[in-house]
Amino acid sequence: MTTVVEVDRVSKSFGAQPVLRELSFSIDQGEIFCLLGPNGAGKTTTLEILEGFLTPDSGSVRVLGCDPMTSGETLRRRVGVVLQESGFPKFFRVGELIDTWRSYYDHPLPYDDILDLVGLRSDEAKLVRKLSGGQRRRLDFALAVAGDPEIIFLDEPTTGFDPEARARCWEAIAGLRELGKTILLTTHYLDEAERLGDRIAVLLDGAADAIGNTQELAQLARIGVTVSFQAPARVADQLAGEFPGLDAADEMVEGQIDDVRALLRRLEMLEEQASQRAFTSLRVQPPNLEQAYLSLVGRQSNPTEPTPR
Amino acid sequence: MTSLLVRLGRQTKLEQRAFWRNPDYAFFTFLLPLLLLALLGAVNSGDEIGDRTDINAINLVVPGVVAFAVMVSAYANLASRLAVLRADGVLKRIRTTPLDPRAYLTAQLLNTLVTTLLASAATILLGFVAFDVSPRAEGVLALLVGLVLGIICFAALGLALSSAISHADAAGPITHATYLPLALVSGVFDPSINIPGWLETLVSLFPVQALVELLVAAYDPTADGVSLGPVLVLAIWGIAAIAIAMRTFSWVPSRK
Repeated sequence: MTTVVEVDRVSKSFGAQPVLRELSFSIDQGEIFCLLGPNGAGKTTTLEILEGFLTPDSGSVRVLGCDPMTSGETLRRRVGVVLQESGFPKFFRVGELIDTWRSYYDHPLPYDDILDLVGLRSDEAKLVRKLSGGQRRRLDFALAVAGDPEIIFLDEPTTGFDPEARARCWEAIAGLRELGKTILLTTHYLDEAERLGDRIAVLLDGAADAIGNTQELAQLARIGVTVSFQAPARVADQLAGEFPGLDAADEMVEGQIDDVRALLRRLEMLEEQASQRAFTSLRVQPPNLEQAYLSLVGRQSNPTEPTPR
Repeated sequence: MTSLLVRLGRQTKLEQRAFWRNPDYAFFTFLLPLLLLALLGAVNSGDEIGDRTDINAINLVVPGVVAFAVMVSAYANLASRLAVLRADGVLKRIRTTPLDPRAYLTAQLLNTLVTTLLASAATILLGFVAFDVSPRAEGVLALLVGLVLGIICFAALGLALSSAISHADAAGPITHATYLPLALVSGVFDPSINIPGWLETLVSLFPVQALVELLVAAYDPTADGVSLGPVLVLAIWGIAAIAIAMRTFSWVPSRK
């Protein structure tokens, strides 16, 4: 795997306010990498450093092997950017704007491919100022991919969207993945990260200590597998005593454990000893991102705002 | 080089198209100098200037209003438009592309040049149609030099000023405060204004006076045509403005 983005112990403060603290991560070619974190965690600052808009106070950054601060134009030919908030020249038509953007690059994507990718085919002749919020976001995408970039930075691509607009946006991102693009995306939506991200970095207080897919994050957060089953009261109490993660009440056992196999072996053993069924209605649920995230966030002293799901 | 020219042409054409699609912006850009000339002309078209017998006040009012059109369209409007484009994040978006930022800004200057030349031409035409005042044949060179150099100088100043406007809603107060008082004492609205000598000297160092002088030379039979002084003043201010803009121009919204 080729590493295309490398962030190494980057720190950045605005005045006395530290925003990034020795942040490190790297992104491989072709993956969708998600920076997940509450508002103010430093997501946009990280992207702006990678885009060459901000210089880190310390640490180093490499995008496609280049320093974004010094290799401006060369890098901008190979990178597409969807900023968190940025306006359009309002009196341009959609098609004109896409074509203008294509003209800025040496090897742009074909015009029609762009329209189809973002689903703006029927709005081609509209003035930009007449577009809805969702359509504008898709135009953001269109302009970001116009130059057929190798990497795309997406800063909170679906914040403030209704469910339908989000779904369309996700489709567009999935389309980019199929084109083999490397994508770095920031979000504070858990479902977005879980659905799109090959790997997720949980950014808290300017550092990403937990990076991985959902399973790996759950391990880091020490979240076990959620199990529940019914058992006779005597068995239930005994198991709750043996497995610290389990609670028993009214012949119902519930809780989280690290080692499901150990529990299953124990249950089998109990059945053999008693020659009768020791349990019924067993349910086993793998950890999800929400549990892992809330556990990781909960360990931080700073309060974070609730994440909509 | 060819590709840069093609790029500039293309970008300028787009900006022009967008300008005409914004009807309020286009309409009022033209309305302001035309209305001003109509009013000033109606008030003092027949007034005498001192004891001169060859021309009336209106001969000098027309070039004054043209100078004002240049200041409003090239300086004030460009500065506030750039401030809005910056605050809206349009400039930041442009900066994420490989487009040479100098090409983008040059296209903005060229777009301003085209628009302002048209507004000036409309004003000159109104002067002819309504008040029978037109530039002298010998003054055409001064008129062209004054207009082109003046517009580029004031647009460059607008470009430089735009970075000092950290919030777009301050654009109006900042631009007006920087050119209106100068316009007044430079005789833009009243060619026979009397100001003290020391102020006269001071004002002659600024580009407003220089622009008025060149344009007046196109209309005043006693003038010499293109004189070096005002040309130098406009050139120096223009070059200084571009130098300042190159150092201070910001593509991202203010964090302040």
